[in-house]
Amino acid sequence: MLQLIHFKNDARQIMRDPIMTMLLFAPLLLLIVFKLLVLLLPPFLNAKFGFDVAPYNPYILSFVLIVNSGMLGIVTGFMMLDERDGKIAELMEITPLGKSGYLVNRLSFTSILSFIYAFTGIYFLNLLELPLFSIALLSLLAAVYTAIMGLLLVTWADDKVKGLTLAKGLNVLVLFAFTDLFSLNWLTCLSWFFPPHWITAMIKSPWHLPGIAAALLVHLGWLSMLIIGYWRRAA
Amino acid sequence: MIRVRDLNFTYSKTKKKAVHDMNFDIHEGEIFGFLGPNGAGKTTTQRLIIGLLRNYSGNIEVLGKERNQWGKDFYEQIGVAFDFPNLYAKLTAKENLQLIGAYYKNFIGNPDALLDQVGLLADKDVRVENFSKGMKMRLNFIRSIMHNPDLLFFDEPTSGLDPVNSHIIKEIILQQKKNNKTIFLTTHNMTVAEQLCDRVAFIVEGKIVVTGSPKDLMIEHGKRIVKVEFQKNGKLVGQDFDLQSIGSNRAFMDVLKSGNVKTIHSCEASLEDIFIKLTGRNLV
Amino acid sequence: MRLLHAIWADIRFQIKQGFYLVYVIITLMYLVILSFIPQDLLPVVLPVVVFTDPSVLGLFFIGGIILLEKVQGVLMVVVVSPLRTVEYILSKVVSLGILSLLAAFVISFFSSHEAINWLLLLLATILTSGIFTMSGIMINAGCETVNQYMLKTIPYMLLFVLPCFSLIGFPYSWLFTVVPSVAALRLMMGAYQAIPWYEAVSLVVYLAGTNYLFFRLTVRVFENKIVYKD
Repeated sequence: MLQLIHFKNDARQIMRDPIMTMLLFAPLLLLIVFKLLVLLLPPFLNAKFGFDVAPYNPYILSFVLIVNSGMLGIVTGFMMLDERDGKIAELMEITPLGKSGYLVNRLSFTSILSFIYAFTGIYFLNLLELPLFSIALLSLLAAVYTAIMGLLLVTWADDKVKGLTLAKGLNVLVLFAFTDLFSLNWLTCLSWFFPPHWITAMIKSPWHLPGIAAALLVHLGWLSMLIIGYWRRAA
Repeated sequence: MIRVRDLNFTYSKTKKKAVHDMNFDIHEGEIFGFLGPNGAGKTTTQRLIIGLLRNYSGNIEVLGKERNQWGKDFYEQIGVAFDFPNLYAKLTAKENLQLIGAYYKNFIGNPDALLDQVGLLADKDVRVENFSKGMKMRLNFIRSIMHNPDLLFFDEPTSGLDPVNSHIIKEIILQQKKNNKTIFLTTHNMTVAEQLCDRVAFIVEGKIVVTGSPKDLMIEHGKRIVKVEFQKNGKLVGQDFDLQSIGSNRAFMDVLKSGNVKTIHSCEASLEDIFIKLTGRNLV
Repeated sequence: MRLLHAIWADIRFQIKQGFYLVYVIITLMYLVILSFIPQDLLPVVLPVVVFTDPSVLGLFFIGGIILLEKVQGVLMVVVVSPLRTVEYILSKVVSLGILSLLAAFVISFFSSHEAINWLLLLLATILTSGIFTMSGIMINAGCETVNQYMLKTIPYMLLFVLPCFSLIGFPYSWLFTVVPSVAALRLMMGAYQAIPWYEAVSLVVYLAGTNYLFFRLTVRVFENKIVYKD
């Protein structure tokens, strides 16, 4: 299903549409902005309020990873929603690519980008010393998260306005990356079911195997549920 | 109803001159058809009269006033059905009518009778996203007449419809005419034009090339002959006879009397023939 | 009458699309976060939250709303109906403003901050919401897709957001108040902190004037780019 020609086509489409090109570079821009904030803000906060940011570094990294991969997913989701409203999706579905090929095609492209951005982003921000193994795993989960966001948008929204509503609602997910700061029992328990919680957990303790297992389980669980949902809708 | 004089229009972006020195009148209570190939300027002209395009030169007098002197009240008196259904997908048929209807002073209030007329009464509470194309077109159509406008604009009212659905639409158009409504129709479906229109105008490259009633045009552009096919020595042969002197044509009478006649046709042109002749191209 | 119908239709559409549901969830999220903010920071954090989310929701949603109306073709039908462009735009601004107002009030009411000037909060939210919704309509005018809209929004957002940092305070930073978003944020702050009456009045007058100018401009942009495509 994953053929080089489709990637080439996708890349070509994206490069020819200046808007898409810029959206793909937006995560890079965002990384640079975060890097600047990380460089400039802590000394300022320390000098003015005596506030030490360092203990919160895992949360900041987690936040950047989630926002970046989530944004890529949402962009892909809107691309598919626009294509659905414009009846292009229907056209794609009757080509040899098929409905599943169309989906795989759209999602895998941005997922791979998401992986690359996460991987380089962690090195670039340089907030924490993490083992290569975790960095690779975190990047993989970022790619999965991108696919999850894209799928959430296409399966749950039937037009672009619902998509915007959903995208707005999905912002709340970021909150789950910070739940252990709040030490509210009900909130922490709730956050176990959502990917962002486990990203923070993995950053905080890279060698905690049950944490890694849970992170994989939750991510892949969401992904497979959404794929099944997509197929049900299609059938 | 509508009086157009020396109308010219150029799109400012593409600099394309879409309408050239156009002159025509549409009288009260008539169905006027605008015929022509794609891109000939039919829709542009309609949009100028409706008021979706400005900056024309010449005159468009409509409902007794120059078009660009009209404000938004103009829309109380006209009904427009575009060539594809414009409906809120998430709302039911009835909700769609009521939502838009609320913007008109003359809204009939309860659209059930109209829905019934186009066979949608049973589906009035179904969301439009579940409608077939024919159902959407019918709903779109009654949406344009629900405020009882005097002047109606239909753009390809039967495009993409099956014979039953297009029959329903044509019946309502004729019904509107009976109620003394004026109807401006654009189409490239010649059968529809022939069945409905009192007068038609052929548009080619932004100009009107011919105007007249379909019947007159068909006779004018036809041949004044009769084609007769008959059996002769076991073979089917055809022969043309001039209409002018047909009553005293011996050969014709003999054929009739022989009892071997298979078909007889007069040779007025069809609108399609005229279209091809005038535009120099085939229908698209 | 037509205007009321249009507003009611817009609100029903927004409910159907889940705007209100999503704002219940978002409001809850803010309330959880706010409950962890130290009491003495609330007079700063609350206005920032209300300013950056409920007040600007119009900018976020209006792009999608108009694009959907365009794709479904209903925008054309509205254009050839007696509904005036002025009424169409007012209806969008008012309906989204009501949602802004509800979210802003609920967040403020259930937070533990007590000294709130509700009248100022009302005015600040309505005036901010109007500016952002109308900016959205103008940005949207040439867009075909949601991604295009969001991307086009970024530079305008920067123009609105960056000057807001002038509130941190540096010599002559008050000059930035001419930027509508800065004036709006100042007024919003005023709803939660003490603000001299003459400053509040002049901010309200200034923002009301900006809203009026934006309104005239939006009507013109909408008519030129969406209604008449000559």
